[in-house]
Amino acid sequence: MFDNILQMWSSIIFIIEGSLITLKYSIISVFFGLVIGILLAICKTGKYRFLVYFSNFYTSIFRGTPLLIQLSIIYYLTPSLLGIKLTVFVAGVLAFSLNSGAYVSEIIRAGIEAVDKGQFEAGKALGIPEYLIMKDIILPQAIRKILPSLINELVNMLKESAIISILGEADLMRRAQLVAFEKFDYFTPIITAAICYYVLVFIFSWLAVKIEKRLQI
Amino acid sequence: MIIIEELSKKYSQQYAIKNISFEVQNKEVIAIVGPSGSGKSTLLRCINRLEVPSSGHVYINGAKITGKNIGKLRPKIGMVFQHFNLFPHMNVMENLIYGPTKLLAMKESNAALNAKDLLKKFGLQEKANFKPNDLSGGQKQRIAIARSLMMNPEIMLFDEPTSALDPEVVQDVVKVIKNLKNDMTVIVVTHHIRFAKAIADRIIFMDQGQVLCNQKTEDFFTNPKSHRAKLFLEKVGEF
Repeated sequence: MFDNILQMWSSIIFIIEGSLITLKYSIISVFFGLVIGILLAICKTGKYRFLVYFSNFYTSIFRGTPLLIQLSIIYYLTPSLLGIKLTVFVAGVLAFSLNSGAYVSEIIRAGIEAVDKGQFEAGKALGIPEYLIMKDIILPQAIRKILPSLINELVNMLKESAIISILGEADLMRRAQLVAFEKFDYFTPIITAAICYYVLVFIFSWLAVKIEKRLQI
Repeated sequence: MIIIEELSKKYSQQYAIKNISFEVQNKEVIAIVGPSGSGKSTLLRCINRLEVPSSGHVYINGAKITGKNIGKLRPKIGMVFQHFNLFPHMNVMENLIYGPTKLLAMKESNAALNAKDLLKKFGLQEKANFKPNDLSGGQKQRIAIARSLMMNPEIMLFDEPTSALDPEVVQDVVKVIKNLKNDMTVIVVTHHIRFAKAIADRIIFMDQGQVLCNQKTEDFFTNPKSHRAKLFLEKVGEF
């Protein structure tokens, strides 16, 4: 077993380096997913009916179809539909962000609705414009309430980003597969990748607990 | 001066308030009293348009309040709620200076000076860096009053300001509200009849969405115009 690990040491390092690629996809996608999610949630809780319908429709589409299909449509069909050839990275981040935005919007909507209505009224009574009430009073409280769910979304993204390996991106999963094919050994590379995912998730969960404590009201 | 003209608010088929008209002079203190569900709070909330009236109008210093101009008028109309509604993610100082810095374009340092003065006046100077959730109810309510006063309002609306407080701390809040007398127009919705008696120049008694009495305070407590008001006073032991 240990001989095996020593023999494969350079391969193991190769796989571990894939963590950076996985991280890059996840963090960028979660960031844009959050932006999309906040915008959609504001639409969902707002008073403009068209925006409410639009954002609900968006969510139903992105929640109702597999991420793999969304990624395939974005990567394989954009050249014929829009005449643009997207790089794997752009297609991946786009698919992950759009998909994550749908889930995040539901989380944030729940968070906004969980903020006491009196907060909105107090802001209004002071004469604060609605966009500032949302930005400075409602969202900061909503985000605190939903932080655990948002971290959950980041963790999901981290793991689901493994799908990008089907487009040939050398992320954690893909690297593990490559090593497995080359060395005819599935055990070491797959376990290495699993440990890497677990460590990443563990670090984020730990950070989340820290942030949650600090933000506690 | 505030003029309320034939104001009604309807929820689906039910009127919460119906055809209410009265005037409030500058710097007058009005207490709106009456049984639960009589429409007191709805009336108050129609004045600063937290509730949009179904019909009728409110005029403040001659200007009719509309959906368009209310944003500009609200800083002049302070409001204090039963459940304080302080912003829990901001500390006391941030709660106080948020309005003036964002809406009156006041410098943060100037706003902080004003805030410190107010906190000192209310005996809460050492609480500036506390989060609202670390304060007692009475302290929270005084901070909420201070937050409204930071905007230099001409009118203060109080919606059951003492109802959520322990009896022990009610006096601290009542004292603060009493001190506003002669400085601004005050309209208080309250269950606390003694407080109404002590502070108000005039009492408005409501029942079932209508104003039944609109009398000077002494007259209301000695000779209420409506029988319903007399029964109410008897029940609360003030007649």
